Amino acid sequence: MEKTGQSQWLILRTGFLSTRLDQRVPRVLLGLALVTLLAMVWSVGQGEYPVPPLDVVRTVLGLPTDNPDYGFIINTLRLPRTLVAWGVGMALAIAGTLTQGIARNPLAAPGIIGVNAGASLAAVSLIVAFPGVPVGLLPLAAFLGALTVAVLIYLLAWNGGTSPVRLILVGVGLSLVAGALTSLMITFGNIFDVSQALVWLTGSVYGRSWSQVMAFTPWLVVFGLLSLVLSRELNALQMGDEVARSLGSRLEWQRGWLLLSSVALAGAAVATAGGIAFVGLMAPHIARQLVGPSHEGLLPTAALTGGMVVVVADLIGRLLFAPIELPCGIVTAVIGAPYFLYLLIRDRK
Amino acid sequence: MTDTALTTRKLTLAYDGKPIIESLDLAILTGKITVLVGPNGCGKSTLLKGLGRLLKPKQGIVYLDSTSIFKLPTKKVAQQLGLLPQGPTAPEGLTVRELVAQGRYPYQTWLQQWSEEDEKEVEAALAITELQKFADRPVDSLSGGQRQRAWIAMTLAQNTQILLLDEPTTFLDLAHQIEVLDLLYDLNQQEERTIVMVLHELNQACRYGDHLIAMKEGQVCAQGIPHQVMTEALVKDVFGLDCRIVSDPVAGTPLCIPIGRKVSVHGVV
Amino acid sequence: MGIWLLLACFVASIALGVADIAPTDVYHALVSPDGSTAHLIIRTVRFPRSVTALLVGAAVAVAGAIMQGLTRNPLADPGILGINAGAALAVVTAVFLFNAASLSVYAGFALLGATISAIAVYSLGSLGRGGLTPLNLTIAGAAMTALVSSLTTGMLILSQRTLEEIRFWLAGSVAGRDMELVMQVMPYLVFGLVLGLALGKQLTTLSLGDSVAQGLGQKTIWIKVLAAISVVLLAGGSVAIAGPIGFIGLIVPHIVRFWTGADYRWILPYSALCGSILLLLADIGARLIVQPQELPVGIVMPLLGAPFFIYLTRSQVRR
Repeated sequence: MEKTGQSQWLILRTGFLSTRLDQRVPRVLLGLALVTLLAMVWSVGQGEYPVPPLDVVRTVLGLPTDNPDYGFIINTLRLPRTLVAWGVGMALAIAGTLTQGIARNPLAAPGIIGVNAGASLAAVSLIVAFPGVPVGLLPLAAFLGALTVAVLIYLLAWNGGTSPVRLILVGVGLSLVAGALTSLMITFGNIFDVSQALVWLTGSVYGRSWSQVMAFTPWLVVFGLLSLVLSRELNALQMGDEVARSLGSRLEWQRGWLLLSSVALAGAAVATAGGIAFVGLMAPHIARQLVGPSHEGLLPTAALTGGMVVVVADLIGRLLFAPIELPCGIVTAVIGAPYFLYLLIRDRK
Repeated sequence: MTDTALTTRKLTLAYDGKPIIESLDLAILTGKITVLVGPNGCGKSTLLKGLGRLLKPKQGIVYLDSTSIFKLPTKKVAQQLGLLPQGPTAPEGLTVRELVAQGRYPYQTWLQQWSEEDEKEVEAALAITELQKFADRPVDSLSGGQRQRAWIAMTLAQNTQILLLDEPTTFLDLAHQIEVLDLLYDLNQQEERTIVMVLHELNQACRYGDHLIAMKEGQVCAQGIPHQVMTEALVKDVFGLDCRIVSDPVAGTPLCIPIGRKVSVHGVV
Repeated sequence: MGIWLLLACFVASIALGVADIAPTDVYHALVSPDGSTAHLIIRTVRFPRSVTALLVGAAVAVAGAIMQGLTRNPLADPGILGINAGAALAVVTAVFLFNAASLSVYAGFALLGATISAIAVYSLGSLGRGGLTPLNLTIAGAAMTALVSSLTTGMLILSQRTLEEIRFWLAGSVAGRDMELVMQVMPYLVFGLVLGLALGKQLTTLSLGDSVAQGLGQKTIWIKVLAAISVVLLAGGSVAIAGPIGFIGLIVPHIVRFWTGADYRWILPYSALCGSILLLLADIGARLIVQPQELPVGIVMPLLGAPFFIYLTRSQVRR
């Protein structure tokens, strides 16, 4: 690995491999990872049976502690939940970065273009219309819902090619339809089921277990890596369709793959934890402020930022009105909006 | 290297089903600066995009060195042909070096994302365009002329033999216009790059162009060296403008002086 | 031509339903009632409902058109910019905290909520880079909507009673509105409409850009404030009567624009017309689709309108 005199970049070059990264990236990633780790340890120690931080670390590492119950509490109940929060945050952040890149619009988030709405609709319909159905089917239903919407968006927006504006508009239209159908479920369903559905809709990691971690992780790993590999393409897309084509980019292919990754990640996240607000919108923005717009560094940074946000949100949700738990989706909205506005103010010339 | 870098045969280009260029046969000479001129809507930008593989022809073929451009792999074409569209925008916060580095896209692969060659080409491009001291500044903090130079540096890093530029000087003030045109002239002279550009300013076209192509309503009205093409009759025909052609006192190339309603007391129409 | 269509829809809206009534009967019921059941239905149930749909449809469509002009963003409407959400939050809070029961109380809170949201979004939008630009306004609105919707959902989760009481209203409906309520809110709506329509020419100038508009002598700040007031009255009033009805404000201006072009002197009145027609049609549909049950119109509308909107997007949006 060599670091050259160019003030901006970190360049890695081995025999047949070479890549470059904005030099802020390693420091930022480390910082984010550290904060996340601390938040996770704190969060895992929280609850009806508080566990001191040192014991948390000991239990996770498999070392003996004073209280034999810690093993169960931490490893079976709390750890998976926190891991889900982290994973879902990362997935949503990456999905948001991809969507913003494809749409070339900083306001585009999977939520706006209807992917989340489709996933939510599928899940809510399942909960309200078929209350007997096992909870394990929810992730699959939500993913199918998200996929259906994405395919529809692409098909309906295709008119000899796609354009970012058409994709967004069609997405908005479909989002409204899905919203109306969801509203239908909420208005006419059994009140108890509807309450459940609302909690799920808001986004919460309550009661998430290892089976969910196992089901979710492959999606995150596969599509997260795919997105990383596609970062250069994403960079080229940012220059505008004409420049990208002139540079040799195969636009429609790239957009298709990127959209698929975005949907897969958003769908899997919504399937596992419901619709957690704002992460897909916020995390890429924050990451951009930290490491700049090049996607090789932006994607991992956004991912870690998103993960951190959801873990911290979950922690706050459990601390604030303990022992009552606020779903982390509400916390992300409540901290997200002011943060966004702060960004707005800070950027003012 | 052949004499003609790009040729078209019976090229028809259309927007929304409306044909702009119909059945055009054209040859772009290697190593020369070719300038496309014509009134608004005559199809010069469309033709440039067709040559640059941005528009799929409704009919006809564009040949790059005797192979149809659409049959070649996209990246291969991008290594030989670079196009700078009108008024390009860069994402916010992108630095000059990052912008120029984008030009290496056609040469990068998953494994080799930033080879030594990439680095060398970027530094060379920055040197030629004299942007080294701005390299780490955001593109949007530069002046108009500097920004355009940065975009040109990007196409330079792309290291293509052929450069297509759509109105590279339109939004610049006069000094910057000359700055950019001189740069392109140097590239052509020193590195024998083939340059095709669309220019609005007739006099700049005459001064910098080796070969002029005058277009009107999708057809080529005249082509050749400026002295041959730039005649009072042609300007009247293509632009509907009465003028006088004299010899530019600085460069010796044709200088078009429009005759409007306000003429000097001493002048004779 | 549009006016005749409107009239036809209006009459049809009164005539159709669980108990179909002949159009001539409708006329008699309004002009010379004879106390029969049919006439009673018409006067107390159908007529108010149709009038509500007419007014609310026009109001929301015009509010959306004005917002799109103000923010120069085709995706703007009172829903996306947080005004509907703010109004809804106010109402949900009222039910949650004070156990408010009657529709007229809802009305007051809705107007209050709409006003506060509009002020909030405006102030926050002005804080961004460059001041009150369309982008900043949109971002501020989106942020506020997300925040406010979360708070609303939070309250609904915490109190099942609130959920039960409010969910029908939350879906948006013109059913069961008594004329008293409509009369109460109508002045606001009418004033908002008149103000909005009067601003048509100014909005067209404003859409050319702030600098151009100011160069032409327009006092842009005042126009923006007046437009905002109009939107608050229209959107707030509509939510007060019928709950948050999205979609119309977003879609109708687009549809109208395809035919009228970019001049707001035409866009606004045609939006009003088109909005009324749309809502009346949707309401008829809501009543007929699953007879004898009824669907809230706020649900039916996106279902009917979205396919049309998507078709328009495909054929009209090139770039």
